[in-house]
Amino acid sequence: MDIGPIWNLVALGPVVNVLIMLTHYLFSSFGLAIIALTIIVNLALYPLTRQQLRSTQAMQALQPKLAELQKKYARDRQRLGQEQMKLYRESGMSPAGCLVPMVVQMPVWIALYQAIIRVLAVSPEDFLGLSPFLYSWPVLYSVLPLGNRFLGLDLATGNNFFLAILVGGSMWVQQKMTTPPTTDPRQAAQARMMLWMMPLMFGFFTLSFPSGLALFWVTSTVIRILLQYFTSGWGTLLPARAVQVQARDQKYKKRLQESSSKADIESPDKRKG
Amino acid sequence: MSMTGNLFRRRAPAKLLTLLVTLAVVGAIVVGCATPAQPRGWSGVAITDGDVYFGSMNGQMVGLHSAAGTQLWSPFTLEPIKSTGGFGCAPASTTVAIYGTPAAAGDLVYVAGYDGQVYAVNSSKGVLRWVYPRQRPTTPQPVVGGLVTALGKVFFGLDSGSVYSLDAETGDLEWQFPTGDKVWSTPTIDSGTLYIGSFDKKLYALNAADGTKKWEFPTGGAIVSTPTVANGIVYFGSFDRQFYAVNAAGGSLKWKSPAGAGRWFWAQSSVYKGVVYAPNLDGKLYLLDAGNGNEIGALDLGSSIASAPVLVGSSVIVATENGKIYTIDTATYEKRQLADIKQLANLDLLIYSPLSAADGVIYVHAQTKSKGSLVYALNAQTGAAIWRYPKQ
Repeated sequence: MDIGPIWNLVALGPVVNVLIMLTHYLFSSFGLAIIALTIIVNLALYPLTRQQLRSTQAMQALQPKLAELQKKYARDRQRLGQEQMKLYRESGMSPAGCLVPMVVQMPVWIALYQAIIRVLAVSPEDFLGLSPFLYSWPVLYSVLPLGNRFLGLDLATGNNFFLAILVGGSMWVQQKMTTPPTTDPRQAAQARMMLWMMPLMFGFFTLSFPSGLALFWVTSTVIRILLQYFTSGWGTLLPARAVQVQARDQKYKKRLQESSSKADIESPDKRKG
Repeated sequence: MSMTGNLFRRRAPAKLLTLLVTLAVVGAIVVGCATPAQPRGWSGVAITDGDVYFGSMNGQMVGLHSAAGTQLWSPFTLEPIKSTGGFGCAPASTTVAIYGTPAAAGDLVYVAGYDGQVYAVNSSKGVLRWVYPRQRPTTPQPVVGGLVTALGKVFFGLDSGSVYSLDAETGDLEWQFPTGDKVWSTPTIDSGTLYIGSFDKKLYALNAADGTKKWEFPTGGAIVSTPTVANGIVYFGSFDRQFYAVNAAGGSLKWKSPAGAGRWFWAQSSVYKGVVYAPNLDGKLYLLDAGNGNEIGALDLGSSIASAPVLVGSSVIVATENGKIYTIDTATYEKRQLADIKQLANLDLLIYSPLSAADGVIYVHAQTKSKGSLVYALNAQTGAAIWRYPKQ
């Protein structure tokens, strides 16, 4: 079954038309329309985003307890699963709590991304291909084609180093806020890689893709930073907070080591062995 | 070493791999689902003195013998664009897309590229005579519309919004006229007047000799379609989904189609025996009374029409985007499928290029969705293929 026409009808078409209509009402500025629609979509998805952020935060807080359980029931996977589920229930959270909102949001972001590409109409083929998406609202026909200039940028062309730095920088800040501090060198290395990979990847995309998309990425990231701040503060972005969390981790690690030694002595399996 | 440490060490590579795969998949979905299309081109076929010329999709102008479809000379390659940026990941150079149909006059053939340069090539040898501008500009402005030659000049519109006139022999700039927005329309010359549409929603009538404005006519949408002039009336469609007839003499409105079409008017219309045949991207060919704009009928051809129709005898031949070619009997307004390019080529082909015809033969430039294109010479009566280029 070809889902293309269904996707175009229910997702891409509406976003394309709203984007063009917003341009008309926002002083014919496509840049303002991108920012406005990104804000609107973020507001609409706010309940899901909040749930996702809180679930992630709660999951991070549970990590020491989960590690304890893994240690305790390392040889009994069934029991481990039961105890983990019990812990989730008692904490009032679901392991899918982080994933579901993200999965629900993903199609909306993809539709917004595709709509910006379509409406920017970088090539004549793109522009010709825009026609089937348009509703019969007269306003859509009077405003097209859209002007591509915004704050000195040509939204239809790429290769803008300033924007690349802005995209990469804002993503780094957001990533830093959400990266849990850890004393484990392997986890720390993994976190460091994540901290730099996404910003560098999108910074590189910014150079190759139209600036209109970079504007969308920057706006989205800034909104996510604000939401993250109001949900869990600056996280590990501020060194003081990072030290605080690391101290908490050390405390848990110490407890874990103590419990581990105790378990090694009392383990019935060991006794049998 | 503690068991927790071992467990983590065992699972860390798997976790990292899962993370990287997830990132790659999300990245591929986000970036790969829709990337801006690279300009590819949709040049039509120009016919003159037994030869045909078109811009291929690999940035070349090809000259063929119209009888057999064999090459006149090695295709003339428009200077490729050197890549900048992208940290060297982009190819070193890219071919120049050709959207406008070439134009031929005397011993020269003219072709324009998406890089904004116009080339004059010797029609018997395929050798460059001149190029305008002499050096490629730092910020090239694409040419999307076709070229027209008349009065010893070459006329074309530029994406920057200006209409240009060059000396056909030397390529020297004669005049330029700025409109308010991009110009993708191909000019039409009639009785010393140049008619051209602009994205600024206006149709302009300019003095072809010196580029001075005679009049302008505003519409509710951008104008890409090439105007058609017949019996002192200029006919054209607009993005406001209306079709217009304007008096060529003073630019006053003669009539406007009473009901709007479904989508944009993109391709040029044909006028024959008091009837306007106006193709629309909604897949219909609108038949309008040339005198008052009343709708005689609308033939639903089932797929978007971006290709301009052509008159052959008393028939109007029109191609749809999905590769079907129809012939319309101008006496009965009945349609008949003449050919299906997809079936002929056994390829998934699309038609955006304007049709052209001479001596009972129709020339169709069709393109694949990925890369490459074919030119077919078809019998206008039977639709049978006479030749195709390239052969394989």
